Amino acid sequence: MRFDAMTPEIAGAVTNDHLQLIVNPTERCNLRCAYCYETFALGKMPETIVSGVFNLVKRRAEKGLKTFRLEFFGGEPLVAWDVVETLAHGLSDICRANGTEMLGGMTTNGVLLTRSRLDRLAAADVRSFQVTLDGPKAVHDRRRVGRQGEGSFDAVWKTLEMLKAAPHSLDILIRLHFDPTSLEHCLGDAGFIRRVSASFVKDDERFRLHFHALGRWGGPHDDETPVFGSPVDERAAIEELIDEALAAGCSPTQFAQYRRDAALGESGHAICYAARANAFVIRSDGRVAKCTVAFEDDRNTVGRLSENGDLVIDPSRHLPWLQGLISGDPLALSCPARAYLWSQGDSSTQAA
Amino acid sequence: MSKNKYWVSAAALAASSLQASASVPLATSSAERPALPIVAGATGLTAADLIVGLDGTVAIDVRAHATLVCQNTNNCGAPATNNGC
Repeated sequence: MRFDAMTPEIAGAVTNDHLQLIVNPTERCNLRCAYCYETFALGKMPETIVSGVFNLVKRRAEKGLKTFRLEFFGGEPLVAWDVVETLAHGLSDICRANGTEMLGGMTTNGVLLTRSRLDRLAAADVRSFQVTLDGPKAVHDRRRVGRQGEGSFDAVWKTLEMLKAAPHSLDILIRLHFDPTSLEHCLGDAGFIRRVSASFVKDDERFRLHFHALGRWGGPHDDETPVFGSPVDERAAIEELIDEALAAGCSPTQFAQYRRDAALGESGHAICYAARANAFVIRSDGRVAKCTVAFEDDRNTVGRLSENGDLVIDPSRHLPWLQGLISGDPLALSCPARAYLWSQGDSSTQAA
Repeated sequence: MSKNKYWVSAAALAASSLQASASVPLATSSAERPALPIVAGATGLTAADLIVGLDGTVAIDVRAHATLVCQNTNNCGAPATNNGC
């Protein structure tokens, strides 16, 4: 990657015109996916931290913040629906009152996303949703299961159908997990890609596809997770999947990874949010982190949000995540966790 | 790291309208920081010079960089201090 080609991207990663908060309303989850790396130890975000988020964004919006990106993460954010609803509407009101554009989104397993909740979220400018499928029902229901081991495919599919039928302007990213053993179920005329494309993506620009190989992300079942032997093999599989979706009638604009060029890193992002100086993860207990994959790594805690909205950042903890902004190193920009946390002694952990 | 990389990075920082923070303690509000755009091409910046205030704003801590110069209205080239030109 040419460093100078990254200049606008780097500028966007440090500008004070923009703020990105990835908020965990709870770190509990209604699913227990086979490869999950989270511990579900933290419950619902208390009112003091909710107030802290409001106060921080209000302070910035009143000083001319141009864009505020809000991403609900977790856990499963919809497990704490009351927190999501309060934050979404409160933050939307703050931004509208100050001329700040709010771009809201959510990473959800989709099981608890109902039409009435979608209507409430869309009214508060939360219009981007990432929903994951692990393949056809037989594959998905072995991996993305509830606490009693029950499959979630039918519920997720029903949610996608609900999103498809909704009149709102939306941005739906269907993240399709695959691995060497499930690839065959995705390809071919009767394969899963054709079904997803025909059902949701084809001729509907609100929907996009993202293919993501399973990885060993630090969970207790990593040894049982099938993974590709090399990034080259993984990349070749992604190319096959993209070709399949194109043949099914999807548009090239519906793939974030389409013919990935040199400006994109391994994660598919030029600069991961964790490498940005103006992006923070607000955990449900008020701790501030950089990466959503490495919650259990103490180096990922870089500060704390207080009730009055003060974002108290420890520079000695924060700066290692920002090395790429100075060095231009593609890995440090696209996946600083891999460059910083996993570069020594834990090479098996992969970017999620 | 080459100087070229520093140069490009500094240019990127300038392009983003970052405010230089000269002799300002960490974790002060952005309102207390002087508005001194960093000159593109300044050398010697490291990640350690990126600081975040209590309101989440990003700034460059230029305390250790006498070579950074002020680019206020006259582009006078004076050392970047909290007193400006």
